[in-house]
Amino acid sequence: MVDLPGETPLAGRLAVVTGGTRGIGRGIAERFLRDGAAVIATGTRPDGKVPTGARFAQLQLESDESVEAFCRLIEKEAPDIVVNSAGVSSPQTWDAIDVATFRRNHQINLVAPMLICKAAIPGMKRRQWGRFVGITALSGTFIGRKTRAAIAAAKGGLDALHATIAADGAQDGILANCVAPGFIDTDVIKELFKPDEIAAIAAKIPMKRMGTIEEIASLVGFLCGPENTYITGRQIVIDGGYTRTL
Amino acid sequence: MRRFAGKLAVVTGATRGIGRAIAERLIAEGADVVGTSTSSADGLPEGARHEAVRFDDPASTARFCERLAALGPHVLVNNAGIALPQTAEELTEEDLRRVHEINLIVPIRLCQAAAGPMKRHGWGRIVNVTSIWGPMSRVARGNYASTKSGLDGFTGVLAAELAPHGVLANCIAPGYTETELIKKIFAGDKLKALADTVPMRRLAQPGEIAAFVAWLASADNGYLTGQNILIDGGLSRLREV
Repeated sequence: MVDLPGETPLAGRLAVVTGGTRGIGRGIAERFLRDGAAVIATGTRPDGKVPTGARFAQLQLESDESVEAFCRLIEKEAPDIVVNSAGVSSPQTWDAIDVATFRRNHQINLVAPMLICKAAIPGMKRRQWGRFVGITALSGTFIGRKTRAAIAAAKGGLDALHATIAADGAQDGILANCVAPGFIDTDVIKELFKPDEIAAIAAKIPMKRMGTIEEIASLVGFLCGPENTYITGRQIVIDGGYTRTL
Repeated sequence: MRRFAGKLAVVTGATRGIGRAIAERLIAEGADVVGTSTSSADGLPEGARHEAVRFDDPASTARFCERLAALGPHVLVNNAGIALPQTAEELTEEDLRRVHEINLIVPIRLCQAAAGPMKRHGWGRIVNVTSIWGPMSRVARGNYASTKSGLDGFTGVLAAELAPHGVLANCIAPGYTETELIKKIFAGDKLKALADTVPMRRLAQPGEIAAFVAWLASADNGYLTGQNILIDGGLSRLREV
């Protein structure tokens, strides 16, 4: 007999999603809510709007004090699921790259997520169940792009970080993976690129379109849900065929 | 969860192991499933339609491809395969050709036959079952790994070709999975010893593989294509040294 999950596979679970006020993070928070989880979603501004039903927590990843306070919240709440989705890109050419920008990028994309994961692991070990997903990027493990040194190095690091969590938690019911989205139709993309540039990017993707936030959230939902019990230590590309196809 | 209501799925090697679990899963979610095996329907999940095909016989494969094109499935899972562990030096030409026929040429032929109908539906999902042997190495797996790497290569290109038509194609690469086959090869204590080499200290159950195949093959997957995804309990990447 096949045991199918019900309508709310995450009922009784608490999920933390960083960057939950917009874009992919918000979509993931919405997905978790729909799947029945309680959700803590973070945003940088004090008045951040998270999806209805989610609890808002302010988190400024570049601030040590803010990250520390959030980690204490995590230790107290002991979430079952942690998705590090918040991140920053700091494009700089090699002649312009500066240490302060590079360090800030790594603080946000790598150091703060490491501390957040660290704070969540003991609760998951107590319960012998936990799911981590890091939202990485094609830049990092999969493609090299001009000006993307900071985000590429940090996201490659985030993947490596999740692999070591996977190794540490493999016998404690803790699975850790990363999801590397391709070009996704978010507000950020619309801010960064003009409509004709977006059309030109879409033309280079085998599926001839950008991905949707919901499509990324669906994969994250699978990886964090009761149906994933054996995928761990992986970084999964979801890009409409872009990376692999020339 | 009835993601496959109104969908026709074809699963090769559906009477045992991973293929059987995939067929069972798709049926449970409402799919109309056609499952193949070499001869007997013994072991085919309840509710599946049986097709006997000998994939080592090109004439039998060709007849099945015609049938497949006529059926016009929405989902194709190429799962059937064989393994004949031999080192490169031991490997005979006959075994080399036989394993490549069944594990590589047949799945390619089936993808070809299913592509047209899927394009006409404007929707299709192809999942080809590969293996950790390909990305990973182990002595005496050369013949098998060659076929599985080949299938991954073909699937990546197929994904590029079919992407504009709403058809997504991926591979899943299971690690050690608790099937009748593996229990035969690793009898008694050997199976426990094998499980101890896995970071999660256990083998995959076929149903765990099937759960992700069902996600990939469903409308829940809208943007993941051209990938070979390892489901291995951390075996390939995580080390305890």
